[in-house]
Amino acid sequence: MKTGIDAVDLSVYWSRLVAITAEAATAFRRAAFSSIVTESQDFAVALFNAKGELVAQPNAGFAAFAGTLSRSVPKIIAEVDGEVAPGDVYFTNDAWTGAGQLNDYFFVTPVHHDGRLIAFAATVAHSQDVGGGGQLSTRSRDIYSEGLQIPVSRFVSAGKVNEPLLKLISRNVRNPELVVGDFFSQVASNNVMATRLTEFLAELHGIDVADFFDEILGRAERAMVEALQRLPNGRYHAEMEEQAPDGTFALRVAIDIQDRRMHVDFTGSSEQSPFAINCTENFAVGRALAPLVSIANPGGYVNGGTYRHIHMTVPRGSILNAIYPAATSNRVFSSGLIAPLLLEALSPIALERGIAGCAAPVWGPAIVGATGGRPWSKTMLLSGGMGARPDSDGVSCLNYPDAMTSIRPEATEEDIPVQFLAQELMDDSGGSGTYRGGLGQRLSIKSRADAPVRLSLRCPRLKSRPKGLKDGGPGAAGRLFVNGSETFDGTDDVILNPGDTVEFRTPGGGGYGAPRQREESLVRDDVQEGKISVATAHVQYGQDIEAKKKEF
Amino acid sequence: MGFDRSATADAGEIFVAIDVGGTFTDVVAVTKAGRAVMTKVPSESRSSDPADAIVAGLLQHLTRLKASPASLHSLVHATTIATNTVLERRGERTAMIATQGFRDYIEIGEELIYELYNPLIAFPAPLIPRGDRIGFPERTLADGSIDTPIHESDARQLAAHLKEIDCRSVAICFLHSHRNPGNEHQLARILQEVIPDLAISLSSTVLPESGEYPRFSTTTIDAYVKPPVRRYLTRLQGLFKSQDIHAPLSIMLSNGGNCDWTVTLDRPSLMVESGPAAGVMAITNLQKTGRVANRALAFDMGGTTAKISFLKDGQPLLTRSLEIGRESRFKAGSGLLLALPSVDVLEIGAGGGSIASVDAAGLLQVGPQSAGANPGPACYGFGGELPTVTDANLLLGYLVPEMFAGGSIRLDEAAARKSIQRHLSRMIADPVEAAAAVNRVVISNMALAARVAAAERGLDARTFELVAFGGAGPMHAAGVARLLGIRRVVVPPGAGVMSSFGCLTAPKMHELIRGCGMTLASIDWKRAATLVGEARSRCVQVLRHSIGQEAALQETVHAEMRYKGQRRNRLHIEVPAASMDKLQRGESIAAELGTSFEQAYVEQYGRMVPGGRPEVIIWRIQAVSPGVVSDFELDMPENSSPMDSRSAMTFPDFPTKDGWLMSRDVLASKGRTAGPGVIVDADCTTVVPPDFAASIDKFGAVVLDSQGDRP
Repeated sequence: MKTGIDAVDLSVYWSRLVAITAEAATAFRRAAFSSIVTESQDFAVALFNAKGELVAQPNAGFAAFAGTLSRSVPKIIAEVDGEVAPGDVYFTNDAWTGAGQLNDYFFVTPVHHDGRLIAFAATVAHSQDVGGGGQLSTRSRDIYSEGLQIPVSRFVSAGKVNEPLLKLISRNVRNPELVVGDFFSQVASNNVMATRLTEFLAELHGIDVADFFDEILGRAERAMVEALQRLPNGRYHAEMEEQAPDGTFALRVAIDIQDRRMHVDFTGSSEQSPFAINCTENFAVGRALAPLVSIANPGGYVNGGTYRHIHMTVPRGSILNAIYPAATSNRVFSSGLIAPLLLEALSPIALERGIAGCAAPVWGPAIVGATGGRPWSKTMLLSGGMGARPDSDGVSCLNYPDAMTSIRPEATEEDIPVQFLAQELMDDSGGSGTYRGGLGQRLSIKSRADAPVRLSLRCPRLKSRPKGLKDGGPGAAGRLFVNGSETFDGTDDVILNPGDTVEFRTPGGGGYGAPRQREESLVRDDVQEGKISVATAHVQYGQDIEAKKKEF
Repeated sequence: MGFDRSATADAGEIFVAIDVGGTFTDVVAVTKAGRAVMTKVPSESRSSDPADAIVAGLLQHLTRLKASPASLHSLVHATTIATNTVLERRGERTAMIATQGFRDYIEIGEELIYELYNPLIAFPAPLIPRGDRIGFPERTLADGSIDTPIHESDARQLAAHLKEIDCRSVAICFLHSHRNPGNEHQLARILQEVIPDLAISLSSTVLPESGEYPRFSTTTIDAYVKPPVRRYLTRLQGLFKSQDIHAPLSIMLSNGGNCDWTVTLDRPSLMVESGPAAGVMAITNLQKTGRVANRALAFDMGGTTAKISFLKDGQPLLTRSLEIGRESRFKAGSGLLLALPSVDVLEIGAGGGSIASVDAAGLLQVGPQSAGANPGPACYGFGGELPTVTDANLLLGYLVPEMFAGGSIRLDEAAARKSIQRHLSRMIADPVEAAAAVNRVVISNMALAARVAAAERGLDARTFELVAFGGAGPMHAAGVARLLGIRRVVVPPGAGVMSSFGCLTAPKMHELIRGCGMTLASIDWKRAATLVGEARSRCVQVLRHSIGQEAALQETVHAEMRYKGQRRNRLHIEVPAASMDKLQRGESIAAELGTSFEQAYVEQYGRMVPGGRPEVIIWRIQAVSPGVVSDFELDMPENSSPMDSRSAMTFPDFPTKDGWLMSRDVLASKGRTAGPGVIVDADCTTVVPPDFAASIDKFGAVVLDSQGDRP
């Protein structure tokens, strides 16, 4: 032991740090107002050392944010104007320093102990509103139209809340009480981490906290190095082409694994878009970390040490590293492809953890209308299928590697004038294979509004079918129907008149292994359950099965 | 209360609890005088019917007590039959009838992941496969109006189909049925008419609240377990009758009450967490009788898991997210959701059988993998080779090898030492030092889980007293308490059979849920008065049926509330007695409920939601009467021989030194004694670390109090 911290102490202390972050996450989720935080876990918390390296995070929350925090916090600290002092809290929603869209607010609180800066507590969460008007459409052309930008600022300075700035923000957002309420929840969550950490450190006699943090960073690093060593050296590629408002764009990645080091290079990806489907470098990198970790599988706790041997190149001016003031509010169109792209590149070498193509990203059609003068809007999340695994079918309707609960009829119909006509698993959407891809879903809705409403489709994956792996077939592509006729542009905005219908069919996951190797009884079950058609059973699996009629 | 062991019990004087758990079946009989006899036999393989063993055990007790069946006052039963039916998928053919186009929510679930970075993440298969989930043409809208009524011909066609596939039970799950159950009722009527013995569960009855996944998931579980539960209970009742046992049979429920067995024939999903709920209710009784503090942290540790529950103001907390059959046992979100109000019990992967290993980062991990009872810890000598928490405790000197589990297993110290050496020496060379590390890590894991659980529930663990029970609970309780900043630990007598006592002391209760789903400002109070009033009469009527016309009972109404738009958050707001009449008269109690809700919200979360609109999700109506036994002094079987000796003991952070080993009666005679030491009982071992002192209180409980200056 180079630092002289006993390994058993370390086992106990490290778990304690993780529990501190879990408690902070709990505190935030309990106190937050935004339903996207409390229901969809669209937030992350983590603890950083004085140098800004991530030392502990809970094993929950939004995987993409967990990675982004590790990138953003050092930048935020570097941008702080003046001295980092006790009683300060810094915050920003800058898309380039932060998470690539203005809704995501970062709060960072320095932690001092015995008169010394020892750590930072940080949270990031999706705010309900950021002002502006363009967020819900892919058609905005610059960041200015997407809302208020707050560069790294002091939210609290020497214990005193920055009232003028708060007033300014309140004036610029809808539902200011809730937005500001969530800000204070983030501050409170950081305080939980700070308080619990200093309580904990008071119990650690004679251990230098910087050494302790270095030790757990080093151990996570070594675990990752061992994990990387298990992956074969080589260069692995993947690419995807998708719809843009003005045509198509492509993402390309090449991943080099050489001697315990991983280099992820997005060179060859399309140039930035004039529309709001761009991502910033910070989020692209943060977004990429979780799928890489899930493939490498270092075990135990993940922290900044885990990331030390992952290097990335994201070409400046590309759609994943757009230049200010590019529009980014619908960054999910590009950034949402990163995880499935990386999983696709590495799955062939990942042995027991390699999975077939996943249908991510989540779809987010947004309806905006007004009833009796009261404006309303609703974002309807919709997930597709997960790719099949080496030991099992893909999970249906799971937006792996993130996860979001899809829109559901009862709460929605109570809230806005829309009627659900059907929401069910989409048959034949999962890729064929020894293990079948997870199914996507079919959602059909009818407008019951008394006036036309605007629907921003925001369906980011209609072209690139989730790939099969090891002779498995691809998942079905996503499809869209407005009043029964198919539309092929998922970036479009459409007007729904009263009584109009829209049907969304999300993509299914890819299959794993040769379909003809699938157990006969499973194919039969799939037919009886209406998950695959009689024709698919015949063509893909070589089985002739008679379906039973069940519906009325 | 005095005891007269030779006396023959009079008719109607013996109270019996039957707790069929995963590992053991306990039958406990208590006489009015407080004398208890108990048997603890291994539960047979889970699939076999335990009814015969129960009856045999009961007759044995009657013989020992020289009593006749007529002297039985009542029987209370905690059972795993419903849970096991789900775990082993032993239900009969069950269909789900859903609004056409909406049959898949029990398969789609919450769409959330319960752990990051795991591409192999698994979810349980839906209880009813898609082929038996039938879409039916009908539609009710969000305002309760019926858009598409039931057509009789469709219903008859469906009935014919159900008959053809020999379906025994159906769950009818229609959208918005919590607003208007009309279509569900109508379909049920027709199906029942055509198939008289078909079991039917309606989502509008099982859980009348908005949210299709929780409502449908709960309803399908109810339907799935119904035929086996009916068969089991009917047979058990038949066996009792054939032995001339006519005492009324009650079933322990997950919500902490118990009710006449006939109620569960229609609502079997109420009894899923019978056993754990009973264990917690035993603690509330100890609170009522002043034996433990009003804020108690119940800590029950067994072979595979530790369970913790917080009891605030003498009441257990309730949860609405019970899960059955988790794919990853200790991860919320990996099981089938049962959203009925249930006693809130958190399970942690830490038990006597938890396995210690060195992980990828070179750190010591203990659990959640467990050697269970088979092969068990290395020291059992049943073939287990991996080092466990029990092996560590043996090396630390906490266990007397020949007295473990009442002497039924002779522990092999050499085997424990060898196993620890083989698997942990690359991290820690000395086996006793390694054992201390295992002990420290498992205690730390439990304390951290309790700390996070407390935070999730808005509680400060330091303000609670720790009450330890279960085979391994009292062994680790002081260590857990120390880390949580709790200074007092109570180990009540009978710590090994707490669930049985809980069955006897839990209140008799009938609970009904009535849907609301409106903001305070928009509730139709006339309608609420009718709904709640009708449910109150029904609750009283059902409870009267089992407790008689004379017995005292109490009626309560709770509003489960949140701010409109929240989904997970729920606060249980009791309608104050003063407002009950007003509510019954159809007058608005929005102001009273609003104030109580805001107070509770501030207490929980520190502040209100600005501009938030409080909403009543459901009304929870209860009629309650006290448990059959409320205050009794237990005449526990004594240890075979008083024990008073010394041996070496090791505690993490303290040097190895001699400690005492005493039986409970010897400690009682000596008075408060400082640790280190071990109190050896027939059914449990209580470990007293060097910074704690032990004494026996006037109720016969072991009390450990912290002497250390550490918080």
